[in-house]
Amino acid sequence: MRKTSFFVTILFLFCTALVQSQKIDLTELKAPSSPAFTILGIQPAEIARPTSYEAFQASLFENLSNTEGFSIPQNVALEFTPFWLAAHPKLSFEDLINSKNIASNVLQNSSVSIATIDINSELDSIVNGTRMGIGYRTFLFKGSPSKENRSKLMTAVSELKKTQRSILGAYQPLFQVLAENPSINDADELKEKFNAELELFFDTQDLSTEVEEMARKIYTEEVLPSLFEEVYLIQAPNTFAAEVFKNLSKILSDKTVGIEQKLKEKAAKVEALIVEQETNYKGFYLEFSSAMALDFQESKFNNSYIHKWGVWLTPSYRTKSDQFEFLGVVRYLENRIVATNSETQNIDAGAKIAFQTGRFSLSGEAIFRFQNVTSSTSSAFETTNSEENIEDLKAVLTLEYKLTDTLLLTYTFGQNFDQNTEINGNVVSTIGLNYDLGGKKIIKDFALN
Amino acid sequence: MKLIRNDISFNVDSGKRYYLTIKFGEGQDGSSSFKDIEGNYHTGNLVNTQVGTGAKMEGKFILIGSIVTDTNQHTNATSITYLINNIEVATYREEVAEDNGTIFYSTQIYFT
Repeated sequence: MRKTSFFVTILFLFCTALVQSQKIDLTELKAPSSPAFTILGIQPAEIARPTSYEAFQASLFENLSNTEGFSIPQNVALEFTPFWLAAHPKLSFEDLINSKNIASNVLQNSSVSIATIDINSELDSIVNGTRMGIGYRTFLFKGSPSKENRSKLMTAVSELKKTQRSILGAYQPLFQVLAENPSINDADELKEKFNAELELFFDTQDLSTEVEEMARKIYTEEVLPSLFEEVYLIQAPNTFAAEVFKNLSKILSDKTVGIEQKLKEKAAKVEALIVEQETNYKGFYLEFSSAMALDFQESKFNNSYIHKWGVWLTPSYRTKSDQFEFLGVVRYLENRIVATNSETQNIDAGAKIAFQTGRFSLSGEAIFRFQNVTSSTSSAFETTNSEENIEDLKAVLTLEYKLTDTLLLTYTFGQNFDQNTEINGNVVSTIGLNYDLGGKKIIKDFALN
Repeated sequence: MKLIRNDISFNVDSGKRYYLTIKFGEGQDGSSSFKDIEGNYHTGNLVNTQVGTGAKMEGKFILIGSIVTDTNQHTNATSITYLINNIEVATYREEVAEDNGTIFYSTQIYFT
């Protein structure tokens, strides 16, 4: 039943994601890599590839090594970017898409991650409790956008602006006439003024023929037919212009109007290219991460202590062809093991090579650990302190397959560190599912002014 | 698309010349258009675009139309800032109704 329910879960998520799947891009989603997971020691791949940091990203894991067999994944991590929770009126479009200085990189890419697991390690004396991981990461350097992508992006922006200017060409002269003639009461006179203002709009500035033709088309086909609807019925004085203004506003807000759809399509294309640019930077990256694990004995808030904390740097280099990526990690970790009354200080150094083609990605990594263990044992008569230096190794292979643009399946196999307090043994055999829940809020439509 | 109307008053000095700049925030991009005091239209990315002289502007108004479309994956917010002679006059912020939606800001500035 558990095996069946696991595959039903995968099938359900796959079908749900397939409804909204678009063009496949393997670099859009990476294996789950939040610092909060890493500090909890349940991350199958220690070294994370850079991501684009969506507002929220949920990661699900299942460990095939579990002797009880398959079960519904329980380890969930959430990651969000605080920068975008605040208003940024001075942040221009150019600031967003261009390479930034270190301070801007750090601020805009800072993300916070939170994860929880039940404590069940035999090496810890805590019988029951909850362990919470809190992590932070950001980019110090973010590489350079590819020239090809930048060229496509600028073309898409130019197309979007043409459409925006065409709409201004169709509506702005009319709003201008209504503002200049608030007491006008004759539809024919108003139409004459509209036509004259439209000509003035194009005669007094140098807009492209394409923009002018589009603006005239919008005015003739989408604005004029409905502009004077129901206005002839108005009897009250000095309300004619105001009623035409209301109609104009209504037409502008009408979602069924073709130009609204055109704008949306062009904006979606620009957004997709910006996302592609952020996930396809070439050259050198440098990511900074830090995290700590808090243990809550018997899951009580007032019975907690810091079990582990660490900081690490992840440099990486992505080739122009996108097929190869080289990553490294340098990390410092401190770990408190209650069962043996000992503390460890770890310095990790590792490297990873990743290869991708189509939907598949294959990577291999090795991390060397230099560990210092200090422990204290007490008897009735004396306390003995000891210190030991240990060298350890973790080596894993990871296979990733992108099922859809929001669903990534991963499998990791290899050897974990011999000295670890999170799982029994040192075999890593983990299947993971990364389902992207990120994206913007949908705000309910509301009526005209 | 959503229409947002605003009215602003601005004091002018008859001996000075005035220039308008429109900036869009929240990492979004847009286009603007207005008719200056001489009756000429200006459309596009408006940076220090001449409005007129204080003497001709007093007692009159300009109407600025701006379209900003959401292309930022991180937020649905848009904002627009009006500057005259590089001094910030007003900033307005509005969220689009749905992803890749558009806001039409229509702002009338009265010169006194």
